[in-house]
Amino acid sequence: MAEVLLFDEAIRYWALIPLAVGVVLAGALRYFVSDLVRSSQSAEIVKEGLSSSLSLSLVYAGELFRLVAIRARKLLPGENFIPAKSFRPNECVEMVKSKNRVTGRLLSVLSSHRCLTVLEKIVLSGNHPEMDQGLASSNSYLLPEDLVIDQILSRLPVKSLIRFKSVCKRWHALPTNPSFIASHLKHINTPNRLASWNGNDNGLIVRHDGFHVFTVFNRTADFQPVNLNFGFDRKPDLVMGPCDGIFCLYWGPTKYDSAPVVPRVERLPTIVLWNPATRAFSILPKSRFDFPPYKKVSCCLVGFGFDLTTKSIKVVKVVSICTDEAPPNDYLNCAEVYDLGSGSWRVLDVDDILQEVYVFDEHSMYNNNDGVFHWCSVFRGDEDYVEVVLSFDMSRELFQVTPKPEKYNMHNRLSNYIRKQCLFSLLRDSLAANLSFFKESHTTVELWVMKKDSDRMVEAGVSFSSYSWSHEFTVELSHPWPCVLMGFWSKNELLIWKTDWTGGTPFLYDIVTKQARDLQLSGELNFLFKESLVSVKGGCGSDSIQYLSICT
Amino acid sequence: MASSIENNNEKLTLKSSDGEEFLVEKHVALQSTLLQNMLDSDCSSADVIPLPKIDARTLALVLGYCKKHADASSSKQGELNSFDSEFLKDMDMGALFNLVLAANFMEIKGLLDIAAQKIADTIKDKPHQEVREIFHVENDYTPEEEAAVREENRWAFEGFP
Repeated sequence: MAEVLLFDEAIRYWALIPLAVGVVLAGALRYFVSDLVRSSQSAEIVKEGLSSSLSLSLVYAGELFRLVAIRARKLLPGENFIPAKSFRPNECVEMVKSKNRVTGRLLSVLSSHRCLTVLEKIVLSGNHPEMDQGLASSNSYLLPEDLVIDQILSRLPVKSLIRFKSVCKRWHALPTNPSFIASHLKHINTPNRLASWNGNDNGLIVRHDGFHVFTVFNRTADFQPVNLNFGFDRKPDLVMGPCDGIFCLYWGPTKYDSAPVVPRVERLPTIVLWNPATRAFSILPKSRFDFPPYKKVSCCLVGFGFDLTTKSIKVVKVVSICTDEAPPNDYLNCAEVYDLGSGSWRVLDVDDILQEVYVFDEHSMYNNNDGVFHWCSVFRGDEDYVEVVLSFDMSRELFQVTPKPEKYNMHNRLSNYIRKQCLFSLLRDSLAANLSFFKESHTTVELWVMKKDSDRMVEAGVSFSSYSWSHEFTVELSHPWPCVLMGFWSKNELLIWKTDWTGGTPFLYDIVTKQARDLQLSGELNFLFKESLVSVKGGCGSDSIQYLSICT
Repeated sequence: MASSIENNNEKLTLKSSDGEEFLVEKHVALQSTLLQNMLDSDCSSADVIPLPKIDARTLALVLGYCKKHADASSSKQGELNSFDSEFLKDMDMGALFNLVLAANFMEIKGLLDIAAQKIADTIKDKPHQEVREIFHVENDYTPEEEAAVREENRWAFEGFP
């Protein structure tokens, strides 16, 4: 019989196979149905458990709900910008998961926002005052990544940011990201860095951008000295800046260069842009004037500043080239500009006024925060030589000539050169002329500030400038040295820099009692600067576009 | 003067994410650009303004800050500065994070500045591994890559093990 059943083809095809298939399907159906029934049961139990808190196993469920609710409350506000991985259960939840199947099941539905909302409502309907404490102590708080970067990382010192490049790849890219550099520049407000040569921080006087702020460096102050020595065997002849945390350093040609065997082109200085915070520096490329078709370069002026229009850092060079002609046309003044955005030198069309100016190797150059750079110079006037200030407007790329205060030039005609001296300082973002007049063992210092006449615009090629001088102070001193008034030390006391054979010493002068007081200090003027991530490498191609965009 | 007193008496109700309601004077609420814009665009201000992103504890802190800054006259900048530093003193990282979120959402620039600066000051000298944990950042370097990045920037790690 069995054999008949087994081998009867009709039975095999029409009964056994359908039966087998049916059994399998029924089994599968039963599995799913029981699965469904079980989960609805557990949800019932959970609700009960929350209201009664009786069952021990449901303590885990309650714990899970608490965490879920906390996370839900934290995460829901950020549902639009929190990455999916943030929804990953934390360790604590995982522990619960391993102990309890019910919670494991619930976790599997957590990724749905609707569930989060529902759970949040369920749990918050009961009051859990301990919830916030749990939140604070369990480190389970989260901030959206963009907020961390824009608001917190952009307020960190450069050194910390460089160190935090090790956190992850995204953070690694931040210090070179143009928009991050710009946001960092905007947020770092307090200058707390001091640039000095060889890290000498004993009794240094710190120069601040403003007129009134002067302080002595001391070890308790929150200033971190930065060493200007980074491989060059001598101190730079000039330190200009800072501009957005970048300094321009200038090494003039050494004295030996004037020996006839040395090609005269070496009379051009080495110019370096340096960011002390990132420790990056770049030597500016050679320009056309390093290889002139003329006989020799006689002198070079360098200026450094910020173009307020394009928000770009610029270096300007005025080069005096000797020609074969007889005086007064025996030299030709040329100028070129290096734009950090483009990373290259560009020769300027200079107007005739520049040809009337004598260019010296001038080591007193002044950087003005209003985007104008000044040098001392001499102008060949119609009748006489006039001592002038040569100014370069970084954004208009325009030279201007302003005679020194009339009183000073008037003394020229009295041919009294030895009895006077003019030194410059920066006061309240304006160039100030410090006129020292000597009489036996007595010095009178007058301070004149150069002010811009806004209604006197200067067109290219028109001589003399939109600046005028206004007298601010006169100080009488009982020694025969030229002096620079640096600014107010305190309400009535001026800080004065006495320039003598040793380079200079600072002292204080009370404008009310007219008494001088020694500061008991020696050292150099140093620079306070606001650190930045701004790159010193000149851009080319797309880089220059990036650079310009960071500054806007 | 009379009109300003009148304005001061106007009050708004803010509702936190956990349902707690706060009665706030209008000039205090105006410290928040978000609320200011809401009030500007809708003069018949709704009875209750829900702030679904801010819990009651944080909102209470935020409003305390706003009240101090709204009431103080501009001449008392020194007093406000000392209030600000006292306000954040001893606050834990979780509370600071909540404040940053709330100040960012409600657009209270002064509060955002001081809370974010406080976090930055706290983390600036911490080892990078700890900073990773604080912000829940996943380390996507291989150990070799991480060592190379550190070697590249060795000067910044002076004083760190």
